[in-house]
Order: sequence, then C-alpha cells, then structure tokens
Amino acid sequence: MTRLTRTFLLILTLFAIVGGTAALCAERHTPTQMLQSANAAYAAGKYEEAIDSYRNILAEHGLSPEILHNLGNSYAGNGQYGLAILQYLRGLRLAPGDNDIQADLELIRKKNGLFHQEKSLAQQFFHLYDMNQWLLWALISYILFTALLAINLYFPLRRGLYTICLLLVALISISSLGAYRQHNYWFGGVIVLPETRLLLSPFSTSSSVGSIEEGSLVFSEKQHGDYFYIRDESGRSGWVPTSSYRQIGASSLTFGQGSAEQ
Amino acid sequence: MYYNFKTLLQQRTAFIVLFFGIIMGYLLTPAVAENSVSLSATLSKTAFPVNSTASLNITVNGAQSVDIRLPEVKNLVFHSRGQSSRMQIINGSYSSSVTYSYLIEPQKEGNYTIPAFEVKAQDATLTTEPLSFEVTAAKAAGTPPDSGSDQPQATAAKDLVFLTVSGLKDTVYIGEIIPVEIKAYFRRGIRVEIKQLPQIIGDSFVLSPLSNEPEQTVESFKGKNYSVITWNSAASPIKEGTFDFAVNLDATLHLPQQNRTRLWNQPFFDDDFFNDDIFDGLLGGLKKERVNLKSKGRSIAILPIPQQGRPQDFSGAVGSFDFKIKADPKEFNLGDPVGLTMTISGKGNFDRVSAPLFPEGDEWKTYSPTAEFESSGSSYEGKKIFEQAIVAKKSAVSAIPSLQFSYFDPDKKSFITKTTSPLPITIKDENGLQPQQQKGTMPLQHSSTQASQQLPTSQPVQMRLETGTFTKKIAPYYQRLWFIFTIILCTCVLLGVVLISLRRHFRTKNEIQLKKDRLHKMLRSKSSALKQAIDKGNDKEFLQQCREIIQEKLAYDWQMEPSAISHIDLQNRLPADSPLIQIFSTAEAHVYGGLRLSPEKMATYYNQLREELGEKG
Repeated sequence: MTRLTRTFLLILTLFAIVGGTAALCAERHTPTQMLQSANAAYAAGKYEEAIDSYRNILAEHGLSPEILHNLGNSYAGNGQYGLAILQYLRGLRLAPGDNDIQADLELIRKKNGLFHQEKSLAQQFFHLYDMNQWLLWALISYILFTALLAINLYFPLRRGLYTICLLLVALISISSLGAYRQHNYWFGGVIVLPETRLLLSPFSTSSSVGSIEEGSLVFSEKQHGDYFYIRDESGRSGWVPTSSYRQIGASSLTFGQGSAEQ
Repeated sequence: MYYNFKTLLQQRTAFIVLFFGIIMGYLLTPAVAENSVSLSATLSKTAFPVNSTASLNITVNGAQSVDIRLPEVKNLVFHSRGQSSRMQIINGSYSSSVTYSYLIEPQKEGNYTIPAFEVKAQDATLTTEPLSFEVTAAKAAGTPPDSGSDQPQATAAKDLVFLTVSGLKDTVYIGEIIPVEIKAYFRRGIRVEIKQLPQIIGDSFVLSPLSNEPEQTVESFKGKNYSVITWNSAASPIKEGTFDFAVNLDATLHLPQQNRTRLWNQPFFDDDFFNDDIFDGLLGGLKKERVNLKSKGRSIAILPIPQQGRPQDFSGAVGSFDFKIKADPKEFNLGDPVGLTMTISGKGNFDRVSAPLFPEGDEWKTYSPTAEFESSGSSYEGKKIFEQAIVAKKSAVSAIPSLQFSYFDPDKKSFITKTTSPLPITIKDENGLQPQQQKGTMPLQHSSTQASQQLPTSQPVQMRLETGTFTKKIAPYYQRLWFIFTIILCTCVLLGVVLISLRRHFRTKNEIQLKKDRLHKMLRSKSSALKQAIDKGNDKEFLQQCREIIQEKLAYDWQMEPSAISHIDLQNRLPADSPLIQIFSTAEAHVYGGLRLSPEKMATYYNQLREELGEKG
C-alpha cells in the first residue's frame, strides 16, 4: 500500500470517528433523561424551564398521565392555575383512577375557590366514573353476555342463565347511560386565563355579563370567529375569547416549541 | 211597553250561537299567522340632562315571551317599567307583539352607547342595533318634567271609570320605597279592555313591576257598584325636585247606545240581571271609546340623600335594614375556604343593597360574593343574602373581622351603620407550622388584584419520577380501533348465536313434522294392507300389520324405537281396557302360538284399531 493510500485511509477513518461521535451526540435523550432534567428544573424552582421541558417530552414522545401531572404541577408553581387544572384533567382522562392527580386537582381547586356545584343523587352516581370507564364497563358486560350465549349454544347452562343475562343487559344499559351522561364532561374545557369576562356578543367591544374564574370547567356550544360560546357548571353562559379556553380532550394536542399551549 | 221575554230569550240564544259561530269560524279558518319574529329597540330621547331620564322600549313582534339581558353600561342604571302585549287578527292574519320598557337613569354626563345585545324570542335569537345618546349637564331642579306620555287624550266617562292612587307622602328621599295602591274603578256592566298596565306619568318616579293578575273586587261608590282592579306596588323617586305623582291607564270602553240609555232610566231594569252585554247587542249597538284614565296628581317633594355624614361604604340603600353574618365552618384547616353568609333583611330598595366590603388585609383572601334576594311578599320587603368564600392566609387569624353595612333611614332622616361583632374562628394546623412560601415562586404575569395573589402551598407537591406509558392522543374509547373491533366482533358472535339457534329451532320443528308426515303415510299404507289381508282372509298378514301399526304409532307418541315396544309397555302405559293391548297380544300369540283369526274377528279388530288410532291422532 502506498503512502498516499495509507494517508487517505487514515483521514477517512478520522472522519468516520468524528462523524460517528457527532451522530451519537446528536441522538435524542431518552424520555427518562428528559424527565429527570425537567424534574431537576422544577425542584430548583425554575418553573418555566420545567414547563418547557415537560412540553418537549410530550411533543416528542406523546401524552402520558405522569408527564401531564408534572406539567400541571409546574404550571401551578408558576401561578398559572388554569393551565395547571387543564393538564390535571387531561391526565385524568388518560388515567381516571390516578389518585395523585385527583388529589392535586382538588387541592388547586380549593385554593382558588373553584367549588363544585351541588349534584343530585343521579349525577353523583354517574360521576363515579368518567366516560371511558363507563364504556369499559359496558364493553366487558357485552363481552360476557355474548360469551355466555355462545357457550350456552353448545354447553347448555340452563340454571341461572336467564337471570345472569338480564343482569348483564341491565349493566350494559346503565353503563351506556353513564357514558352518555359523562359525554359532555369529556369534551368540556377549562378557562386558562385570569380575569376572563363573559361577553354578551362575540366581539371585543361587547359588554360583559360577568366574569368567570380561571380554572373553571366550562362547555363550549359554538364558535364564532375568535370566540367560543361557553356555559359553566352553574348554567351561566356567554362568549369568551378562544385564547381563554382550552378543550380537555381534543383529538389533537400540540406541545411543540412555538406552539400556543393547547 | 210590553216585552215578550220568550221571544227575547230565543233571540238571545240565536244571537249567542250566531256570534260564537262567526268567531269560531274565523279562528278555525287557516289563518296566516305572523311567524316571523322581528325586534326593534328605540330610545325616547337622544339627549337629556343628567338629572332626567329617558325610556328604552324593546318591541318584539311575533312572540309573546322573550328573554332580555341588558348589557352593563358604566354610569347607567336601567329600571324596568314593565311590559305590554298586543295581539290582533286582521283579515285572517294573526300577529302578536310584546314591548318591554326601561327607564334609563344616568349617573354622569357624557356620551353613551348601549351596545348591541341579544334578545331570545321563542327559538330565535335577535340582536339589537347599538343606541347612542348624550347626557348633558343637569337642569335646575323643579323643571317641569317631560310628560313622558304620548297617550291619546280621549274623552273620559267620568262617572263610569276612574283611577286612584293611595299611600303617597308629601316628602320623600331619592331611592326611598313608597308602597302604593293603584285602583281602577269600572262601572259594573261596562265592558272594558285594558291592554297595558298602569304607568307612572313622568320620569321622576319608577314603579316596581305590576302583577298581571291583580286583585279584583266589587265596591260601592256614591251608590253605584264598581268593579275594582287593585295593584299593590312600590314607587321610588329617582331625581330630586318637586313633582306631581300621577298614574295613567289606557282602556277601551264599550259604551251602550240609545236603547240602553232608555233602559237605564227605568228603575225596574237597573238590576244586575239586565246588566248583561247581550242586551246591548239585542237592543242597541255598542260604542267604543278609548280613554286614558289618570289619577289625581299629588305634589311630592323629592329630597336628595344628604352628603353630610354619609358613610364611606354607603351604596345607596334607603329603608330600614338589619344585618347579620355567619360563617361555616368555624373550625377549619389553614387554606380551607370558609363560607361567609351576610344577610341584610328589612324594607327598602334592595336593588341598591350591595355586599358589605370585607376589610382588606394580608390575613384573608376573598372571592367575589354571590347575591340572592328572598322576598316576603313584595319587592321591597325580604332579605338579601350574600355568600362569599374567604380563606385565611395565616394560622394566627382568630376571628372574622367586623363588617359594616350602611344605609339611609328616611323615617329617621339619618344614616345608620350596622356593624357586626368579630366572629371567632379556629384554624387547625396539622403540623403546627406556619405555611411556607414556595421557593422561587415567579411573580404573577397576569393580574395584580388581591384575588389573584398566589397562596403558599400547605404541602409539598409530589412529582412523578417515571414517564409512564405514552399515547398519541386523548380520545374516548369509542373512537379507538380496539374498542370498535371488539364491539363488532361481539355483535357478529351474537348474530351467529341467534342464527344458529333459529336454525336449530326450525330444523327440530321440521323433523317433528317430517316424522308426523311419515307416520301418517305409513298408517295409510298399512291400513290398505290390512284391508287386503282381510279380503284375502290372511290372518297372519293381518295380525303382523296390526302389530307393526301399533308399534309405529306408539313409538311416535312415546318417543321410542318401534321395535322396542312390547306387550309389557302396552300394559304399563295404556288403560287396561284398551283394545290395542288385546290386538297386540293376539298378534304375539299368533306368532308364537299359531292362533287363528276369523274374518269377522279381523274386521272387528280393524274397526277397533281404526277407532283407537283415530282418537290418538
């Protein structure tokens, strides 16, 4: 091998090493690493940095109840209670039985004077589960019902079959009704800005009929331009700017850099 | 003069039937109803002084009930003056409209615009146009007010109808509530149409909304009987000066013509029986006269609320009030909200009663109060309850501070301030520590009001150390593929189960039918074989066939194999005197014992067999 060839190979090898190292360095951090870094920022009181970090995790890897919980805590630490409640509610959509998120949500609502409206007995019953949980109950009951009938076809289960089937049908009905009643809450939204006024009409110079607290749970009925017509849990209604309102269970959420918080 | 009462009665009945027939025919005829709803909002003046008022009328055509939410406009107060409705049928077309009247009371000079606002009428939502007007400097007090009334001035039948107002005083204060009783007297027998509730003349007073169902009585006045309609309401002066208080009421009288007058002069006919409208139609025509009833004006001096000695927290409440507070709970943890209930009860202008101010400080965080008025029979008597959430910020707080409510008592002619005593409370702190501020709390970006200040947290926030499972979106289960797929799968399985069950059911039914058909066919063929055997005198063949027939038939009935049926089965399962047992035994005896049978016996057995098998189906 000539000297020139050796030199050329050496240079090529050097490039390969440098390029490979650069590629390795450019490789994305794992979600766990990003989480650790975000948690460290939170612990140091750097809430805005923590918020950005959590949002990056969500933008890169998708939604998870744990990350949404931490993001909510960061918003709460930063004084943005509306956005904090929004993230908690989103976390609960994904993990309805998460007691930690539920506890922090109740704490922040209590601190901000956001009290639940008194509910009737039926409402309390249907609020035991959220929509997805009721749907799951309905699905499981339906599967059992179908399986029982199918088994009965070849292995007759005469004793008690009729009663069990009736019970399952009742369970399917109640669960479906529960899912239907909770449907509105699923697609509700949160007021994320303080001092949001409820306007009579959907334009900025319209007079107001009152104000609505940051963090209030509301339901959007229609949109006109840059305004949503919303109704809160007590029945008050009016127009609010789209910037003040965020839907909890949107079909697509973007958390990337430069995107408005969704 | 002789009156044939029977003829009169017949004529009356005929008239009634004809009259109502025409009316019903008119109403039942498909009328072109005015379905479209339209809205108009008008101001009575576009410029007026600050110590005067203007009227805002909102008219909705094509609806009888509407929902109006007036916008908040700074320095303007809106007083409701009630509503009036109108319905008419013209050439088969029906239309209705309702007008809501408001009095606009400005607080300051300047140019104002009432912005467009929504009015909900039936299923439609309509929007008004913005209304602009100017409020100029105050005119001298005592200036004669605008009449404010463009009611037609018609001739009033003085003895037949009149209006009275009682309960007035010579001197009142601005905002003071004056209970008044408005009575409209109508001579008994006169048909009257009232399309509008009584209204105050002028703009110096406002009247609380009158009931659409006033009290109706009969009273005697100067020897005549009158139908009296009474409204109990409350008037309130809104600008200082000396003004006449009077009320007017539009009505249409249906006055009788000559015959009636002639009748009227006969004492015999001055009886309620003859005061029936029907006689008007029978004996003469009716004359419609539109009248504007006006009560006798009474001069009232309206004094301003004194400036001297006016408490700082005075909000315009005039009357006589009591003030109480309560808190629930009285023992709570630091940071827990407390419901503070402030009740102001008594008599007065409750619309000017606002929630007492909670003293500002760094010990309490307060939220906006809600208000609810509970009337005890009228709009000026009752109690107004304010609910406010407050949160203690320091564990050293031991009491809810004193609260004040100030009002002007017109009877005592002085300001009264009611002060509550401090309400002791107990704050339970679980750890015995003062709450710590969060480290590195960023300053608030959005608000500087007391209500938005950040509270210190009372417990550390738990951060999650694991990322958990990631998902692309927050979607309900019914939008997820696995859920939809499972539902479809279960539904298909269910359909399959149903189809298989149905198939089995029909197949079994068919099998049973097939068996039955086969049996009948067999019986028919065996029957003809029996006959042939009898004809041939072949007893062996005959008995063989009898045995087979009996076995086949009973096998079908008993769900057994034919060959399994024996003599013992027949003896066990058939009645003892059944001919089938004998025939079967004879057949078996012939097989094993060579028994002979005569043709007559064969014929007998044949008939018995046919009878038995025919009965059994």
